[in-house]
Amino acid sequence: MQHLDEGTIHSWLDGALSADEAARVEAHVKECPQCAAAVAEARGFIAASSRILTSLDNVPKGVVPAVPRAKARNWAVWRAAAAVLVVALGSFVVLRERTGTRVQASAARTVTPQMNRAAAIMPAPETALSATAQNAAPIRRFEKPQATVGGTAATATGSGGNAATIERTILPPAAINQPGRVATSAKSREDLRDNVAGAPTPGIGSSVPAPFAASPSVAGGVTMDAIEAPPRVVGTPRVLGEKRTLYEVAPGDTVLLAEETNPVLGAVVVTGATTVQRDTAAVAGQRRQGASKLSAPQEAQRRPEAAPAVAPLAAPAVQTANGVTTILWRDPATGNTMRLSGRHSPTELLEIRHRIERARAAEAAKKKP
Amino acid sequence: MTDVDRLFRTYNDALVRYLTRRLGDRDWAEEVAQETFVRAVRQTSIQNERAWLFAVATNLVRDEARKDMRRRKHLALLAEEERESVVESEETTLERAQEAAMARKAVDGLAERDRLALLMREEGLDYDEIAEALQLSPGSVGTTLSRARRRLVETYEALQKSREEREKNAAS
Repeated sequence: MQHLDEGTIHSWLDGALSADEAARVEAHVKECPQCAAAVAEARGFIAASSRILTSLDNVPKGVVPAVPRAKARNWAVWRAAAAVLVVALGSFVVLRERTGTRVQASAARTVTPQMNRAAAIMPAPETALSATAQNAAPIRRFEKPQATVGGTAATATGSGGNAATIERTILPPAAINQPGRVATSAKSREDLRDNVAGAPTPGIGSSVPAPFAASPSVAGGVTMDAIEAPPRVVGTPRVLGEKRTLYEVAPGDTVLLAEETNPVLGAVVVTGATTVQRDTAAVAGQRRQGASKLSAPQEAQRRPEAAPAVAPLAAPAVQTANGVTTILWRDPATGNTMRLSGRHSPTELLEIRHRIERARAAEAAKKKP
Repeated sequence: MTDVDRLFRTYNDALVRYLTRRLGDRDWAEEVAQETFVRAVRQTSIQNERAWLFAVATNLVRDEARKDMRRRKHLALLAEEERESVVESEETTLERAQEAAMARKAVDGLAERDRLALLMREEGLDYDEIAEALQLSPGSVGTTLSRARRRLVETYEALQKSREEREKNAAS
């Protein structure tokens, strides 16, 4: 018998031969080392080609799902909704305040019963506090989304709910300005309101680092900002040696302001105290409910800080990388290097910087005794 | 269970795998497979189901490719992009993606008849079925398959070797 051809060997290995043919092939392979080698090689080809073809099944389908991004977009919607609510309330407060203390006083007195009811309906004291803090401390506004819900709930509880929310927004600056009173027991509504209306402000307010400062519109001191809302603080990433503040200049559009600070322990303590101050302010709003936890000694930790002022500055350095523009300049008041980054043109960033500085200066001016 | 249900359940997996290997695009493969089953419904009687289905699917691919070469190129391009994007996004699949790319190249290097015969054989079609689907003489299937396998493996190994040499050069 002549040697087996490759086709026959494959047919045999694939079981495609008749019984007679298969028996003949088998007999030959046993006697012929050359054909036995060919059979071994054919087995190798069959196995290898199967393996190669199997790797073709690894056909990618679809792309990496963008679920986290979708969630982020949802948050952006909530943030935008919260921002609209806060801006609307803030503007309302300014308008009310500008009409005069007397009008406001009577309004406050009028709404007191409803307000108390609204406060009672509040799901939790902390939520109520957060609703207060929204205007006093823009930082917290977006850190606690549920606070916004709480605020909305308060507004929706009835005709008085809205006024109650507004009056709460007035409280925090008063609380900041009256630290001596923080630890005192419950005060009447009128007392608190009077504080807002006319109490002189000791220097504590100015120890609030400007980027953390409250929106000027809450105090009603700066008409300009009531018309053009200042960039809102939406986050303060903690980095040693730098004070970082995320401002939202438009819904979903943020810029990062980084301010070099001296990383000494004192500075860190002050930052902590600042946070405590916010809490103190918030607690002051709640002391009526007898839940005051913080006391005056914390004031001792505060360090007076030079208030940054609006001043003409040298032309900032501009860098652009990966679509992110960064402008650099030196704050004349503090001497710190300021860095503002965002997906904007340099001109837009300069405009945003101007808005931030105006807000900070207005805040600083307001806090000065 | 209707007849088409049974046909689908019995042969869909193998048919889609065959077509995916043939086309390098699973969506396209599923589309062609569905069309194949639609054609099967219209058929009054099919003697050898498997051979018939694979033959019709093969002809559909051929007809469609002839009719719409541009679309095919576009899809192949998309599939290529997708493969590349996966290579970029997941380092762990890099090795597998490279293997798949080499396998694709090796398969594409085969003559059409050899390629189809081999792919059908991999799906379990016997020599008679392959002969019927591809209109070959049953006696030539063994030769076709042996040629296809040898060529595939040799091409793949050559690609593998050149890749290893490239990596070696890059490392040194």
